[in-house]
Amino acid sequence: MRKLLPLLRLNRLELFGVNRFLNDPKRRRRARLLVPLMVLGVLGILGVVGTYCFGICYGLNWMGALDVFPVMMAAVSSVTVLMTTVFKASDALFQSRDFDLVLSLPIPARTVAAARMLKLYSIELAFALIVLVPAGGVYAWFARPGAVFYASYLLTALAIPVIPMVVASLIGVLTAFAGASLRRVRYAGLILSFLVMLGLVGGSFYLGSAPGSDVEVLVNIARTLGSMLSRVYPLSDIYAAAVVGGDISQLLLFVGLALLALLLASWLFGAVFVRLNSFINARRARGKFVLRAQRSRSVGRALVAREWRRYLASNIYVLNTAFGLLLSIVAVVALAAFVPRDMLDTVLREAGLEGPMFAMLPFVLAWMVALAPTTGSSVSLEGKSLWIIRGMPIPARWWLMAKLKLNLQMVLPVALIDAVALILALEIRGPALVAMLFLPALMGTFSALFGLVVNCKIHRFDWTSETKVVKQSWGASLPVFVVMGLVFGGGYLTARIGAMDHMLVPLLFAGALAVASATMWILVRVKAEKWAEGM
Amino acid sequence: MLDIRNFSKTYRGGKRAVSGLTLAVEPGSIVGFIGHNGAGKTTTIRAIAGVLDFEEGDIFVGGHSIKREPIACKKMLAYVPDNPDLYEYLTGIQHLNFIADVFEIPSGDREERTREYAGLFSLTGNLGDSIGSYSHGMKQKLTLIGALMRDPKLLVLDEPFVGLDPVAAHVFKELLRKICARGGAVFFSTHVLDVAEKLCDRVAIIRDGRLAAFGDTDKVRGDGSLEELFLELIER
Repeated sequence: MRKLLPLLRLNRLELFGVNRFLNDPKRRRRARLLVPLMVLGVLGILGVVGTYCFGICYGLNWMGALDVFPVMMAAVSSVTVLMTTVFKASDALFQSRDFDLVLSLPIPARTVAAARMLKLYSIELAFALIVLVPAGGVYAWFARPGAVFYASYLLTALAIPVIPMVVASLIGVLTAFAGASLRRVRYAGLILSFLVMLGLVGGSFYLGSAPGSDVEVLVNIARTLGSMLSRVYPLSDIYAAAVVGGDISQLLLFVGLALLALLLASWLFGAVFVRLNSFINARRARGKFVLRAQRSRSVGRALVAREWRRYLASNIYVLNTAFGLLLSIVAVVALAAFVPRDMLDTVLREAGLEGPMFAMLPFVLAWMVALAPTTGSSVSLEGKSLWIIRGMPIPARWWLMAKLKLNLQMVLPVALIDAVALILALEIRGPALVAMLFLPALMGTFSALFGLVVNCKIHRFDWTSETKVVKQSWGASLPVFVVMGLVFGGGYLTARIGAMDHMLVPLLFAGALAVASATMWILVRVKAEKWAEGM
Repeated sequence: MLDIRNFSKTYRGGKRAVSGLTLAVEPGSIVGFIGHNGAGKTTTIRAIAGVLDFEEGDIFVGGHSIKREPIACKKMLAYVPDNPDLYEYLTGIQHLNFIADVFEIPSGDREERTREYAGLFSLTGNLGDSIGSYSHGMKQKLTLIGALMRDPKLLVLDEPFVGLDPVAAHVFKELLRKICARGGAVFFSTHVLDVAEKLCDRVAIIRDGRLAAFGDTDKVRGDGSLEELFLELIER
């Protein structure tokens, strides 16, 4: 414990870059601007989650199944933690540049492993609390529970992220291990990771699907929901007894299981920490290269090729940015190939959603293709090698635009394929066709440019793990929030405004995105040198 | 070849790293840049290479201002930093090819130069391996090959001998002399005074961001050794 404390202090200082903000005058000034924005952003998210929770609670209360709500939210947080940890885990636990420094200290490897687990936990706890805090508040407002509920809810909230995090860490580390074992096969690790991710998404859909017919669901909603939740979240019975039932023994069991899982995982990772790290990070060196004539490229092509190599060298970077694209193709192909148009028409017509739903489809597609631009972290990923590109006799806009090209080379073909497939399958015509063709592609272009601008202005080159810039940086997060806001806002307005058969808003959005993208493109070209000087 | 005029750099937060530095490096000469830790050597070298902006003074490479014509300057110089942070996701040959593409070195020349320099540094066999698998010394060798293959008019090096084995260090010194014999110029920082004394035509000693001594090595050293002079200047 005595040796764990300095490592935890290090974690605390490193977390979210707080220490740098406090001790670097330049960053302190930026922090003064960013912190209020961040607080507003968090409050906004809490507000949105709270509104959703209110809607769900209202419905459940009406059906007399309000007690299911805390379990449902615990399950949602757990699945979120599982999904967000699974590919971060290997990186966060093993691939850190300070590994040599930390392991050379007189601290046991199991303590280092425990500190890494706790660091992961603190990040996942923040994600879980974003769901659990508003959920608890809304539930308390509806159910008016006794004092024991608040204590149980707080304790379990701290414990909820642990087990999914441990499970995800095991899956993530095993995937990385398998990828490292197959390192002779190019991109084996990456393909394995994609398969695991698709398996997790598919599995969660399968487990979450309700058994029986719709009628049965309505007849006994609480029973059905309960059985669904216990399949998605095996600890739901213990959680329900502890939090809703006020059973202290179940509360202790729930928290105890979480603690046990954390201790076991720390022990397990600690026992194999050095060996596993050496294996996962080992690089093959054959030393048998025979020099032959080399192919030359133009400067522009060389810069884009470098971006592709950088991109494909990082599993977490690819998974974070390509998964939405892959999922969009899977979803569109599934819809186009397996759902007949007349069946879709009937379902939508009966639900009274035919007009707005079709008009909202471009926004759904736009969200999937534009959600996580590669550009949001591509500047930061230059890291300590930035000197190479900055020392080259090329204008800064060239290498910045190469980052944009990589993003567009990924997004635009997928947006086009998705749009054409949907247009053909759903026989979309007229203004809807224009929106379907242009809105996702323009949203992808906008998010790529926005990510680039944000990352040029807010970058971080001293990272010790790629996860920090790929998943936990402003450059990576801001475009996600902006795209989400645009898609939800656009979708909402589309549903509300019926002009042109609900197509007015998507078309206006497409036009606005084109203007915004052109403006940002000019901005990058004009400001590139100045921004690069500040890096 | 290199003309530093009244160069000053103050970092954000008020720390003045270099103050009014003026010196020139003529074609065909090797100039050693010596100073204690934090004296301003790396700041000066990074500014020459165009990777650090500055407000006061100017730096000219082959008559071009690094402030106003950075591209023209960068085409003439090759910079090697004190820590070889390279693209670990590339193999050695991919890194060299990237450099060659950006500097538009024709295919034939790049193969010939790669063969020559990689052979001299005994790195040819490892060029197909990922840079992530390289030792510090191998990365340093690869950085030097990348710099040399552009055939630069000016080499700007920050502690270039750190991490090199004795054979590689010897090879590199010979290459520096060849570059100078062809009319190129070398400006490098070092803490190894023995190397500076034997290799450099001229030395510049920087102390707390200000030039403390600059001139022909023999004249600056006088009757004593460079080490004695350096210690005397630093303690002053």
